[in-house]
Amino acid sequence: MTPTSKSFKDIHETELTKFDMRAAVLRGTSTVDARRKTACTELDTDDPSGYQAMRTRAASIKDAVLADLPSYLEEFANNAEAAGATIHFAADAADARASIQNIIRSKGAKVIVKSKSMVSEEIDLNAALELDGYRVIETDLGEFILQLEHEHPSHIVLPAVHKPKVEVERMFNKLYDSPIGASADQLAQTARRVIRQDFLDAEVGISGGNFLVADTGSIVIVENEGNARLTTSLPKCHIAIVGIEKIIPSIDDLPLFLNLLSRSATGQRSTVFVSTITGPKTSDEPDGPDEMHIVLVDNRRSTILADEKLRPILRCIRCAACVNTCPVYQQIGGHAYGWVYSGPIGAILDPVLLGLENAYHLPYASSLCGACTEVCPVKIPIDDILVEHRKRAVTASLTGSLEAMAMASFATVMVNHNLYEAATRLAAVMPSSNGRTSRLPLPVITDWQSSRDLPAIKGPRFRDVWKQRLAAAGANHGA
Amino acid sequence: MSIFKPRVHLFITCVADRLGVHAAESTVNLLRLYGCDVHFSDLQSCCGQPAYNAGHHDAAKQVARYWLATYDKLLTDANDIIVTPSGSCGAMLHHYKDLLADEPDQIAVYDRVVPRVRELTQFLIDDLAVTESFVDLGGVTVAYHDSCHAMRNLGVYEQPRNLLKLSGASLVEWDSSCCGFGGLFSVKLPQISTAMLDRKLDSVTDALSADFLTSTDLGCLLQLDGGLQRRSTRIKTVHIAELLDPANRVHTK
Ligand code: SF4
Repeated sequence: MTPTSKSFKDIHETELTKFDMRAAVLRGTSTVDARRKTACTELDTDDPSGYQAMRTRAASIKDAVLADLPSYLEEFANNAEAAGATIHFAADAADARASIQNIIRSKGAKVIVKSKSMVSEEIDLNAALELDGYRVIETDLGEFILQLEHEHPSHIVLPAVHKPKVEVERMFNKLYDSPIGASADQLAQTARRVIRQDFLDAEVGISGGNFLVADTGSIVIVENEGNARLTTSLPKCHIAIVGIEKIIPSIDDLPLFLNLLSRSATGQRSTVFVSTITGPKTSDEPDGPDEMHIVLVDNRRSTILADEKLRPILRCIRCAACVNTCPVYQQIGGHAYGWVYSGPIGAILDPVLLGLENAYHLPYASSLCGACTEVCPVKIPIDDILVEHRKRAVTASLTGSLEAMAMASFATVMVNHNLYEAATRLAAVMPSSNGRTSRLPLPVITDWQSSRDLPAIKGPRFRDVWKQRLAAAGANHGA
Repeated sequence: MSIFKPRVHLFITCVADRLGVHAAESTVNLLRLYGCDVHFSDLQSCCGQPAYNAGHHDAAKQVARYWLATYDKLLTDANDIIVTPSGSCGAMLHHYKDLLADEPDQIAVYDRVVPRVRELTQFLIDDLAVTESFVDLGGVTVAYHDSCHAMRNLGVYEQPRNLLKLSGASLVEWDSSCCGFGGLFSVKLPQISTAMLDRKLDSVTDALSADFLTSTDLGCLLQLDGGLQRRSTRIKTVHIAELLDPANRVHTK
């Protein structure tokens, strides 16, 4: 999808007027957030294996991988190839698309089934494949719904969370004669029926991957619908597209990460399906693909890796806990962010993947409440990184000279006693009535007063009160 | 409570100095009632948070150095404590460590001064271990709002609730999300800020109502009060120090 993050200011205002969408987002994310909380608090004991200790352990395992990423990737690639998979390294989106297009062309494929993959959104894969004339079918229920409407996911785990259920009911009614008022289960059944033949026809299945296990060369996929398992096992050829940061050192680390991922993502103790795939079908196995390709995508991840302040972003396991708990995301939804990754993870990741000049509004779309940082299972200091991006936006003069001047004056006043005295006295000239500051056509004041009152700025300041009576009272009090 | 008289230096914050005079005054009254020797230096100004959060770190550094120098001079005794009625400003001081990381002299001052800073309710409960209240709030319902920075960065959660319970107030449960203030965020993206505010206020005005809405942070209270004033409601917004101070105007009305 073409990024529109640069127009965040306009887009988010439009999104705020979509009340049905906002209600669906708030309901969906709050429900999952509450489930996450229950599932994580259940582990929140003081003993060394408790939830907080798990987060610390997961963060340090990820950091160890990132400190030596090339050798872990090499270990993974060697082991995966030993198991019969073919590895492709893709430096950027174009590279990744080309690798995948080449593989598909060599298969003479016509129909391609896909399970959920955010990296495929990141590299705009579907559009490229459709242009080549292939039929590409999204098999995850949420993605399937969005594909019917030519929409993009608004959430990294719950792609269609912005869609009110009645809209889906109506659409399925029109297309597949499914009843109005169909339950979520019934809708899923309908989608399954529609997709079944495609699974059988497809020559190629494309999936993402939640983890790359270095010491076994396996990719691990977690899901609840079973469509990823079919995508990776029915077609003759399986292509997995995975970001290079998804490495974990050992299969022994997997239980920790699975536990954190499923609880943080959906509040489940475990997802319904966990597929650990090590190479294609072997001669003594009855089913599975004949060929397995793993496309390891960099696409600016090594830029993040080389940047000490931003590096923790690569710990991310895409659980979306930060998204679900974010009070800003809950109001504006994911499309407002203008690209694939939204919410707090999007606000720290997109500025690197798209270039800061194209996404610098996103890090400002936060009250810095810290809810995201508190829930991140791999302890990414999200709010600190938001501030780091803001600092870089200022350094790159993206935020305007007016703001820079205002901030410089602010500092000058705050470090100069006489100026501070004068400025705080002067503030009292603002007109007021009934104890509230009158409506004023001044930059910051107008924005505040658009929806909120401002108390009157008049009468003595605290420092005057202190001098007039409190200091003396203290002297008596102390005597 | 200990018998020695703790010496407290106020960091009243620029917001309270100008917009929260009653809260600031009640902070003084309360500290004195609990036996503190309270000092205020008029050289103080701001913590620098607006510039820091907006990414203007050169400006923030200037203010940070000024703040550190001002308080370094005030702390003359090893037991001196700095108390602030604003958790968010208190939390900001902890960012100085990263902000001034390349300046070893400043870090030395930081290490002397910032560990002595307490948010008001934190000081009363954790340091003074107070067990009595000077007001009777029996029959009064209070909606307490957690300031995100006080709660997440300073660990202020039980302390204000305990103080309110000591006074006999009944606490109402309400939406626990961020109020949407966020300093400059509230004017840079006013529509999102307001949407967040409305979500909170809807939960207290519609469902439960309360006599008072209170918090440990004047920034949040500015936002919450600003929104409440545009609604017809009997709920009054006050800083927690005002509720706990028997001399405050809220008790005479
Ligand atoms: S940043 Fe943390 S909480 Fe957010 S998606 Fe990534 S791992 Fe999950």
